[in-house]
Amino acid sequence: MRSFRWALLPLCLALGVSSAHASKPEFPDWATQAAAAQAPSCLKINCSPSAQPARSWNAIARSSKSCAPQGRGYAHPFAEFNKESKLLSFHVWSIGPDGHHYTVKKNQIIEGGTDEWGILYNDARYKTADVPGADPGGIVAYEYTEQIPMHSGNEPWEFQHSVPTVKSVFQINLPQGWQHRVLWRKYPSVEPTEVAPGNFRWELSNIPSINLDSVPMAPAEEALAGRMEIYFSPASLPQGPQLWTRIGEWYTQIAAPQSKDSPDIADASRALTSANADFIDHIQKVADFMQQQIRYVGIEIGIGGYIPHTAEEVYRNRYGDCKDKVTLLISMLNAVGVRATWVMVDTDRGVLDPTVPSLIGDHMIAAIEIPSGYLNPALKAVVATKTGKRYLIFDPTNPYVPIGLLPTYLQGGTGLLLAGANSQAITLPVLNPGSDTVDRTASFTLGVDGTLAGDVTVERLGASSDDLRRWFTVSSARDKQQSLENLLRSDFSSFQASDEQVKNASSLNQQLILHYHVTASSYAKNAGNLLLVRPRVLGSDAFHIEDGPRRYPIEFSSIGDWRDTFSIKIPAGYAVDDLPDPVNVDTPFASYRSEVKADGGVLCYYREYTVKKLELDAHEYPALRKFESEIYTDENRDAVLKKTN
Amino acid sequence: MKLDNTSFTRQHSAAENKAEGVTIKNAEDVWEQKRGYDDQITRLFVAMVRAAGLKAYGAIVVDINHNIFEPDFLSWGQLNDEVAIVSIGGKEIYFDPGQRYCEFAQLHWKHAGTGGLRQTDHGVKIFSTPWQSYNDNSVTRQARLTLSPAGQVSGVIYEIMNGAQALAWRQAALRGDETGVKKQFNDSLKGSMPPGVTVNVNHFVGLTDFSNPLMVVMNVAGTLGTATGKHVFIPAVFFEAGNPPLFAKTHRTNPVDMSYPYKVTDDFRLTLPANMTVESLPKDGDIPFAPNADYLTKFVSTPHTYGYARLLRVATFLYKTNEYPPLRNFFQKVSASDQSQIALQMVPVAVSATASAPTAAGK
Repeated sequence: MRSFRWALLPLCLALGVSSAHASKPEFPDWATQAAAAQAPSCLKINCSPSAQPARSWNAIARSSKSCAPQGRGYAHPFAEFNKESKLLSFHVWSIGPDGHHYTVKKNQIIEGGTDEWGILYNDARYKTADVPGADPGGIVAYEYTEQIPMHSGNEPWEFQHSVPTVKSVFQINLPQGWQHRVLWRKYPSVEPTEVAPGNFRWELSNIPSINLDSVPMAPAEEALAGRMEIYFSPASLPQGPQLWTRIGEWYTQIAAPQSKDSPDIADASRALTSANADFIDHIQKVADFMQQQIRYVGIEIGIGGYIPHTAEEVYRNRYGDCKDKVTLLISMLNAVGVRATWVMVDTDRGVLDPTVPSLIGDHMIAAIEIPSGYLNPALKAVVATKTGKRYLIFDPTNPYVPIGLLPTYLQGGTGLLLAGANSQAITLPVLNPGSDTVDRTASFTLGVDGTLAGDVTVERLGASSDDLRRWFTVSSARDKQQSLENLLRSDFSSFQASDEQVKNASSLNQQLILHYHVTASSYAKNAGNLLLVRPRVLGSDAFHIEDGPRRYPIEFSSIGDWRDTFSIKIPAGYAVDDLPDPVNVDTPFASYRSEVKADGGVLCYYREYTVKKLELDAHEYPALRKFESEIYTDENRDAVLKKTN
Repeated sequence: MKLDNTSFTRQHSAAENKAEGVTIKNAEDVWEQKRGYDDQITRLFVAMVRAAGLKAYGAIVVDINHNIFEPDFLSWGQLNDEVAIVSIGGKEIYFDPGQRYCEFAQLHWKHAGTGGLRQTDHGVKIFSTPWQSYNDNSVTRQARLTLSPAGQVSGVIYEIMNGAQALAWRQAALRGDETGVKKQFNDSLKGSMPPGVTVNVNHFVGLTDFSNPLMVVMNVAGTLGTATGKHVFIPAVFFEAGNPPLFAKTHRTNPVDMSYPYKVTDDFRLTLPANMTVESLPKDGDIPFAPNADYLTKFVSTPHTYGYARLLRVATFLYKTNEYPPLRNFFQKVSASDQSQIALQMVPVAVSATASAPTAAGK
């Protein structure tokens, strides 16, 4: 799915082009200086009025003798390139812990092809090398220079990573008269020095790492990392949101011709619905066609990572990647009088920042213009733009989220509506908890020996069921059974599951229903003449959160409402001795309540867990921990049964 | 003097060896350069033992973590690793010097009970390495904990291990660092602890000293047990509270390989607060599965303490599919005993008295 290859190339940088063309790469001074902890990693961009910009990257992996051995994993030089971004040079050096200098020879450089899920072919390649002396106390240095296309006239400087950076430099050399502007995100800005006319240099020291190891509920690393975006142009540069428009105009200009109607597409689109069909009927039929008839297959060569194939090609071949699908969708909808356009997004919420216009997104979805005054409760993923138009946001690449809803990984993120001069950043909708529900109901019987047996039904509706719908659609019966058993293993120590049935896996507007029967031996535990039964039989809503401070924001995977209703018939000869107290916790971000009642010889359990917000600030961590702790405690409470004779 | 076993650090490139003037062609080179991979170090060991006047033989075996030796399959490709055999007083002792931190006169479990080719005084022959006993791979878990009137548990756990477990953690520390190993160890415990209880490694004792058992000292914190109006219930077997039965499925398609024989011994003591007393104890456990395994537990209490001793010994670690039902039955019974609950009764107290828990001193 992550095929929209805006971010294909890693940031790189360099010494000037002159050193890049050196036939015998001498051991560079900057690498020697690195041993004395003086030289930074450096990204440089050279713009020329007569040629494509050259981007070069000098990288230094430096480790002290006290560094952990696993740090060796970071000492791998890497340069990616393709037909459009030509690698002009790639050199690697190192200094062993014993001070010995190594220069990696050409025949020791390894070249390979990259791959990506769903991409049948691309021309992205990389160079790397196994570097001598890459031990604690050593230095690995490399530089490469590449010729890059100038697309929308902006480049990101991604200087913050999962390991600390001692020093990082970004330098740009602009021709006389060129303008530039920079924006920073998630990091304090610094001013550049103009080292020569038109040559600007930004320098950062002691950049902390973004370390998400063992951080539960964390946003993506890229969403948290500091970044600088530089915009440059031979003409004057716009400001603020107009920088988004600048990117949008560039993209619309190259993509719009690809969505041109063809007679075949128009005929096919019109054949899907009648001419006087309702708006939702039109878009539903076209969406179904896109989700069910167009396979996800990507072919990306050079700028093909950005430009979609023509709608006609996609229609004829019946395959395409995300931007191809959106392009065909636009064309098919246009044929029945519905306007639509592209929306660039990132599948990791927070990577695209509304205040820092950028091409850094990795995915393309669609915005479908809703006719003025048209209302339909099925259309939930709706945004209103500054122009007053309303758009339904839809991801045709995801075949398991129906039109009207939005995949959970996109909700709350930022998108760039690509609509020529009206291009603008939009906030993708966050749907109501009631639009994403799970209802688990079960009726169990408990035996004297502690065995629990019963039938379970799980009904799901909403965007978060997409992974399960996919799983139930593509998996064999054996894999489904195995998956169910893996799921139940966290609830029962010993059990047998049978009679598994799945309904509506590919009927996206109907509840996904799972039925099964389960028998769990030794479910109830003996404690003297008492029998302990956990009334929360199935599933866990608790997220284990450890004590300690929280540095990063918190992210839930989905908004939603989950309800459990279980009954447990207690065995003859036993009576209820003690029941857990009811729990009712309500916070601004989530609520939880549970209750167990004894009704005759039956334990009746009900609980409801609702997530209301997707993202929390780090300072809300204590409240979240308290909330999760209460759920965790409640989930492990037992009802106590006592022998009556 | 230490050798760099590059199988646990990094293989050096030809450029590095050339730059350093390193050329390793024989055992003497390994000794002089202080560097070699696992098999080279094993060969050096054989050479040094011979130089000391003892009879020593090289051998190459199948790693049973990957395969089972087929003596009739005449392919060198099935043989993976080299071990050493030393004749001392007419008795042959097996050594695994290529496995850094492997205990003296022991084999890594993946080289025990397997086969391959060895040198003899009369040429090369097919042979088998000795099997391990459960005593070769033992873990002892000792806990000294205190429960507060509010249900908070604190105290120290000492886990002492030798053989396979100790070797695994020591070698993990070679590939990472102690901080990383602490995290891995903490993670390995997460699923097995009672709900609400957190265990964190305080320090290791003997992480690089393979002549002694490895000890892990851990601090315990959190909430132990679930309370109802009249009772507090705590897991009878603290260390196994979160572990499911080893074999959940009734049907087995493939043979069972539990890697190596082992022994686990528990010694658990919990000091109770003055407002709680043990209402009932589970029955002591005695589950035989001769000659393959056995399990013993004994639960004890005094007015203000609860404790148990537990012993699990697994002598046979390979089972055919037709041997699966009795194996599963054994572990089901073990799990049932391990999952017993202790009912603590709430009693009125005139004056509160709280014992102080021992704490692992920071290192």
